[in-house]
Amino acid sequence: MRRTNCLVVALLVAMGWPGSAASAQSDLERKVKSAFILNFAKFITWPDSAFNTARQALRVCADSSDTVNSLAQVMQGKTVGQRPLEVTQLPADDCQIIYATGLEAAQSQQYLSARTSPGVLTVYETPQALDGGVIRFFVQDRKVRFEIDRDEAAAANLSISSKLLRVATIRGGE
Amino acid sequence: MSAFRNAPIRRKLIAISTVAAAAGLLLAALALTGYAVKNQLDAIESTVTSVARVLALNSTAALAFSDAASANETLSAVRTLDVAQAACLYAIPGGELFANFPSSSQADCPPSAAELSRQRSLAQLQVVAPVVLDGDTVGRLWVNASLAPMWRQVAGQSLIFLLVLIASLLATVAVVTRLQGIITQPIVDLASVARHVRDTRDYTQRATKASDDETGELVDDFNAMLERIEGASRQTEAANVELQAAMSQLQDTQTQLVQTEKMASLGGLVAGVAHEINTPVGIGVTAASTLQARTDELRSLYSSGAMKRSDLDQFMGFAEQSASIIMSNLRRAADLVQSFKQVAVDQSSSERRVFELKAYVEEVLTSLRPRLKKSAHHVDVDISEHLMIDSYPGSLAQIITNLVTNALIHAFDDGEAGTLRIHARQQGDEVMLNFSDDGKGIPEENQAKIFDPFFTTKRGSGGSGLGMHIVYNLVTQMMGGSAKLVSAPGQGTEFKFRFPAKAPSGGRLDG
Repeated sequence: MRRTNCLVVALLVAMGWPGSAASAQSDLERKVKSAFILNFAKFITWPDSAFNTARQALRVCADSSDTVNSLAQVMQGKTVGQRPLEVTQLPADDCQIIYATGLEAAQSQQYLSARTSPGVLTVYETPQALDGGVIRFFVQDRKVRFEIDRDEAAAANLSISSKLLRVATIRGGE
Repeated sequence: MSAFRNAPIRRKLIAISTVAAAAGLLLAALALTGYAVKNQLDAIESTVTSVARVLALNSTAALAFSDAASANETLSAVRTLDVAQAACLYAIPGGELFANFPSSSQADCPPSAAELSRQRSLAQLQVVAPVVLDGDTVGRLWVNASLAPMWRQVAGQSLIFLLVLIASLLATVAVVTRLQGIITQPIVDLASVARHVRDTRDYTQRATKASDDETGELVDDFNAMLERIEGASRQTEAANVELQAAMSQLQDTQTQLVQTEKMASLGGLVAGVAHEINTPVGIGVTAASTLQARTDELRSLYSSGAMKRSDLDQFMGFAEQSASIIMSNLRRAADLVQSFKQVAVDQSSSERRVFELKAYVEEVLTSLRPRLKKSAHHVDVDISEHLMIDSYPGSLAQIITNLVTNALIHAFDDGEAGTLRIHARQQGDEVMLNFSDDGKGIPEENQAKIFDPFFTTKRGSGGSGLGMHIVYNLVTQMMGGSAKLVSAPGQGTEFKFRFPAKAPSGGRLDG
């Protein structure tokens, strides 16, 4: 956790990173996003039905191996509440977080739609909003920002902390 | 302080009440203000701490997602606290400043989280709150609050306290000024009565009792004291009146006694006169009766015709002799009567005339001869011939009589033969008359009292103690002179008189 924050800080200090929506992700950007995903888990409450036991690990599933590595690195030894974290390459079952890294909408849509039940946080980063996507990363002023679709969140049965909503761009909702 | 001690009770009361009220109010104001300051400080600290905690709680997401703008927005909520001056958010573990409010002034924030601490000074209050995310401290929030508004409020309160204090003092002074009379008036009244009593010495006055407290007791005691003084002064007055009555009675008695003494010496004079005239008259009677017997003898001789010529011759010689004896004795008696008459008249009156001193003294001595004859004393008169004085012969006669009588009684023991000496000379307008004896003298302790009335060493044997007093009064008052005593035990006694040859007019004897 502490290390994650170190990463965030490192990102902020190294503002000169060339963030372009179209280009491939740099290592740093990947790490920042990995840290963000860990933090999302801390501000979001899953429905009880999403887990079988109280101490069941929270499974994070990503589509690219680079991202899986980065996530594993960030989440190494971390917990959210009492739950440990585990990172898996897609396709996988029983994911609580599904992260589609592709900028191609069709490809990402495929991952997002692969979710089998409510209680899954879907994260993606295509320039346009996708059906079934709860959080969408985007880069603004060279900073990683994210958009939360409240309707999708509600549909996914996820309760999102107002604190998280405050730092996010909001989409949907009443 | 001594000026205050001497101030009137009224002013003291007002001053003490005012100072006491001021001290009480000031103490209350200080205590209340102190309490209020502490309460406010605690309240401010608690509020600032709460706000800091809330802000810290709301800053977790901003820190977690590096959203400085959102953090700044969150921090700006600190505006709701009017005491807050700055809020600074630091990221942990780096410790660098992440966000601050007001966003324009980073200088208000300590440069690093390491320097943060909770501080409370007179001017400022600084509170630090941790930013915790899922059990981990991800940041620190520092809020700096100014205490100036609170102090302004305290100053305002103090001003109100001050105004209340002043108003209270004014009210105290007003009330005490109005009410001090309850305490001071009886004392002032009492003092004024005391002063009046002192000035007028009228002890019949009484102070009025207004209350039953200590002042009332004081008034009662004062009145009781006045009553006692009044009683005492009344007694003293009565005693004075009695004393004056006794005194005047005594003076009357003294005058009477002096008069009686004078009459007594006049009586002595009459006795002397009678005794003195008795001798020549007796001789005359004897001579006349002898002559009558011889005449009867001759007549019977003549009737019987047996009368001889020698018988007639013898009778005629006898008759001549008898007539001569009778004549001389009658003349002597007449002389005596004449001189006694003068002395008696003088002595019983205060007539003033011109007379020859020596002859007059001798006439007086003649009247004293019966008394002198009883003793073996000799009287030596040494007075200038033809010394004429214009004075009161009666007084002089009494002086000589009393001096001689006094000397006969006191100067000598019985059977002793002494000499009395009367010596007089004119000196200028004055006459110096000395009367001395060679007797036993007067003891020192009696000399000063010799002219005092009723002083006598022979009271048991009939001395009145007035003789020498009368002498002194006659010389000093009637004759306008002075008297002096020179004596020593065993050295005799000398009375030295000095009086004008022409007595002052209006000489009068009183007492």
